[in-house]
Amino acid sequence: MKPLIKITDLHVSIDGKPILNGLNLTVNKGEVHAIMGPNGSGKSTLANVLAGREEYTIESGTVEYEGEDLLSMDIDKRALAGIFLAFQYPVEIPGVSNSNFLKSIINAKRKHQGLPELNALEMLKFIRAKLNAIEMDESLLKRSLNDGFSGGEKKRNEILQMTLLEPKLAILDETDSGLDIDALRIVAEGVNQLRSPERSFIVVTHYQRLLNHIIPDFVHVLSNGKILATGDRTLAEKLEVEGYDWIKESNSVTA
Amino acid sequence: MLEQEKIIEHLDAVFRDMESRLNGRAGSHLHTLHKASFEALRSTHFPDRKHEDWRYTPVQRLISPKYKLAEKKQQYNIAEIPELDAFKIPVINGHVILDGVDAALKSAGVIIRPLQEAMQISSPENISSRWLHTVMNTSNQAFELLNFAFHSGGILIEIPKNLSLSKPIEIQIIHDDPEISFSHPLYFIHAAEGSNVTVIERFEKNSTSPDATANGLINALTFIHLEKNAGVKHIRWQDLPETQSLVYKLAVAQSRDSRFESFAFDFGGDLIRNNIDVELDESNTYTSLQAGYLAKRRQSFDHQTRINHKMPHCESHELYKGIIDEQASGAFNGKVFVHPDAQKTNAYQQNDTLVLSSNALMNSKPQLEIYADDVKCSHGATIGQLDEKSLFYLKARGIDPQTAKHILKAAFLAEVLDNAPVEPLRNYIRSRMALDA
Repeated sequence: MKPLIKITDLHVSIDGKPILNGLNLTVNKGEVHAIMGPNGSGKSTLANVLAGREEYTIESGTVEYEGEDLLSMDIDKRALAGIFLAFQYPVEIPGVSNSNFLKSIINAKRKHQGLPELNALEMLKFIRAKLNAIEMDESLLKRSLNDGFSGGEKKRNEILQMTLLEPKLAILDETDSGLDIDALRIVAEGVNQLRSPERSFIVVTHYQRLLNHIIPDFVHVLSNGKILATGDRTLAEKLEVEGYDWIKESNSVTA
Repeated sequence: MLEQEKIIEHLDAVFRDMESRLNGRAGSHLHTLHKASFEALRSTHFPDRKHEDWRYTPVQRLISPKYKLAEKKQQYNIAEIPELDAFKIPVINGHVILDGVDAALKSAGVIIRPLQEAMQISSPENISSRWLHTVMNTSNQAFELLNFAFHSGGILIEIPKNLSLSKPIEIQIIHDDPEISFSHPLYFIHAAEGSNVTVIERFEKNSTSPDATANGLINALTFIHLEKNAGVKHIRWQDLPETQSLVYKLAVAQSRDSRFESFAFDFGGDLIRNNIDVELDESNTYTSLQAGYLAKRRQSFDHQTRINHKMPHCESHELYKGIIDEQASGAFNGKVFVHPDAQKTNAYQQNDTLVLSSNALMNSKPQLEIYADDVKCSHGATIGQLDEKSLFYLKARGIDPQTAKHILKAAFLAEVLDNAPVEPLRNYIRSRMALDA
């Protein structure tokens, strides 16, 4: 089977400072990969580089997505090709209503697929159905995009967008940060409902607790911009108990 | 010969040509006004860039073309604003088309008089008439005098005491002449005690004519007088052809307990000079001036505001938000004067600008002069670019870069647009904005 995404020897820097130092990762269709690691290990950089964030410099390496060179694709084209980044810090944009924004992104995708745009009524019906699934209040649609949203509301809005866009590869960048336990459960359920043999996830997280709700197929430990250890969910449990120091010391481990 | 003299010499010929077509109306009130104003104009220099208030306006571009008076014209067509139900007053090439004035306006109680007639009513009780004479005899600004010297008979719109007009008045202003020409719309709006009205001034293209290729200048004057406890909402929407410029002056006088709100939206035209002067003659008034504009190409949009706090307990707000792109330039000069008697004044002013190209230019100058000691006054100005993080966020959801930029530009102007009255007009401006992204 051809992998959905294949990252080979990726080196990335920002302002001349190396962040990723020869990262390799292959994700097949339907798999859930968790990326864990201490602060500053490069987890968020990886998530942002895949989505196309421009502040980073690709020094070397390749990323193949469905057999194509992902790194040469424009940001919006990556999204249309099925890559979705759930932001760690979703941007607040006053003056753009959340509902208009959601309409725009749904219609951008439909246009790309050669489908007609949804009219206002169809759109509302479509969005409402997904709202209920993640217990999100409809009043958030009328407000400006993420403007004045609580941390939990912002993350729910990210998950809402993910369920509306049904990506092939969803990258969750510390989606658990700033969430209380109820919000965490709801967000995780949103993700679990989307799990399918056709959809893959890269779940970037600092803590193991999200992985109690989203059970990963693989857990990778990132340190100094490299994957130092790969295992199943028990690796995450071990990290929760023992911390990251043992991996940093042993340099390369297979659990 | 000096540039100014050349201009006056040319205007002199235009003036004589205008007089030769008076057909027996010489000696009328209006003709007297025309003559007196032209004489005053002769000795008043047009401003140049050495003049502080005109430093950022390429005024040569405005005054150097050899304008003739735009011909009177009856045929016009202005695209309707969908779902807007308004009392229409068409003004073509400076002529109010009296036949085209919505007859329902009269039955709603509003009195419309040609200036000629309004000025002849000289009873001392007639506030409007006295006011007209005062205004016209005290001006010393070149462009105002130019208007008074060349206008083709404006109108006085009187909103009687305690009348709240159910629909807005839509004044539609068009300049349409194949030759290099100017026109001078002039109207006075008098809101009597306790009255309420919304006035839209719409500077538009004539949709039956091809887009104008010759330079045109609209030199418009609007006077609004609010009596005790009157409320006026005013919206100026400007989408002129690229070859036309606008010098616009709005002079407002407010009496006790009155409320005045003005919104200006500029998208079209070449050089736009927007002057607003507000005299707070009595206490406990409310004034709000807001504007949203998008300048491209070599457009130049210049906003000058002056609010004169003369009496205590008055409140004024200003919010000017603009986007300057390509080789365009913008200026904001907001003056607030607080006189010694104007204690408990509350004045707030803000000018925010997005400058989107390295060739675009914005000059922002707040100017507060405060001579009272118990007041609350503040001002602020920001100049920035589109937020990169917001752009990334939108693109990361599949929105193409062009659309993403447009969404952020519209969001920037939304703060002003969302505040404006008359929903169909708001929607119209939004859809017009979408075309210009």
